[in-house]
Amino acid sequence: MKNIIIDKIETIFDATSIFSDIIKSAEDDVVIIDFSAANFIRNHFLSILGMALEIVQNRGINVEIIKPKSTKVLNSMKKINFLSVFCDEDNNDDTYKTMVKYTNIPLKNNSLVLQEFYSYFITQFMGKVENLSPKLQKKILQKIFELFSNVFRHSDSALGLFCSGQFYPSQNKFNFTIVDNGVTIRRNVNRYLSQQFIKNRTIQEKLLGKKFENIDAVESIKWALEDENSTTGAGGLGLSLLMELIKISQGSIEIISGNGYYGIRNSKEVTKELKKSFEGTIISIELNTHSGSYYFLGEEKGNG
Amino acid sequence: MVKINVMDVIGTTIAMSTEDGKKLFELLFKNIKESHKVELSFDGIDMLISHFLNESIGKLYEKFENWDILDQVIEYKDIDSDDLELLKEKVIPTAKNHFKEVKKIEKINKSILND
Repeated sequence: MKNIIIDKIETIFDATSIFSDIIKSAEDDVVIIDFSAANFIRNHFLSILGMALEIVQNRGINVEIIKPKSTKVLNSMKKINFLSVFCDEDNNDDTYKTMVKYTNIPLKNNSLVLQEFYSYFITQFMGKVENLSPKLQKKILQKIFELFSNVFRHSDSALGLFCSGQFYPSQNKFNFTIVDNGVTIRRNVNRYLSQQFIKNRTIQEKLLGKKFENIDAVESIKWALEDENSTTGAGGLGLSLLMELIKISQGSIEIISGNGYYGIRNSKEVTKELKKSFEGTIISIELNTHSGSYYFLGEEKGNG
Repeated sequence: MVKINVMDVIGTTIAMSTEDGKKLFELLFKNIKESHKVELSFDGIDMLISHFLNESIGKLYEKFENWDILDQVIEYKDIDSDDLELLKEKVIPTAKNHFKEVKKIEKINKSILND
């Protein structure tokens, strides 16, 4: 039996540290996730935890959840539909419509799930989040789908992707985290670059025996965020469009893939090499939900 | 003018996947090759993702030499102004840049082989 006590999940690193603890569990074990003392949980990071629990459950490990004593934490975890997936608990009504529920989307044959997610998102938030115009809502949803599309194409993640999110109307913020357990960005980018290298090598380079040199995890993430790069050929715009939105709205982004960390906060870029590698990719975004922050929505504002 | 409705081709309101992009690409390719002008309607499409546009329209720039004609041959209908901007300002220029590079490298390698 393994007991994991969770008192807070405030940062992406709190979530990845719990993730590592959970997936290290031995076969045929029982993992007890003890939220009883939890006093602060950033709900959008629950997708990371959820994926860890799904991974161990798939290995035949039983998961038991001890619910939070704090009513506030308990209710928000019920509202995001997290507890009902892993223990006997009803979902709470999301009266103020602030949560993007914990969702698992398979990589293949997902068109119904995607249509459902689209309808859910639109009906959940349309006109309900202060300052969030319909046009901006659609734009945010489009960026989420761009992220999904990226995972579908590159991750090869056996369990698909996991996501969760939350609007914070009083702060005009929207947080969303998507995670997969597939091929890391570094591996994908180096595979693509080495193929391109071989394909485009001149005959002289071939004769001189010029070899491809791998780039590290952080450089790979940066490469994937650039405008024209894609590991499937022409025009990998998905992530660069997201970056554009983050820059315009002065939002933030954190990406962990393998042992690479890349973040932008307050328009400053932060990168580091992590000691513990994450087997997969996490992309966590924070967008400003005040339409005034987006110059391209000015036309809509003027008309409205 | 041949009329093509994206939703009829892909059978979903979410235009996103590689496979669906390829279905539309095949149809566009066939019609343009036969010198037909195309009216492409996005009526009923809820969500349009850049990758779908890369696969269906961006990749046409690999197949045809005359890009000026290609720019004019498809008329876009019932498309959100932001999505049209995404297509015309991002997807198509990115595809042109990419295939220009590919062709340049192919030319260099060919000329080296011929030397």
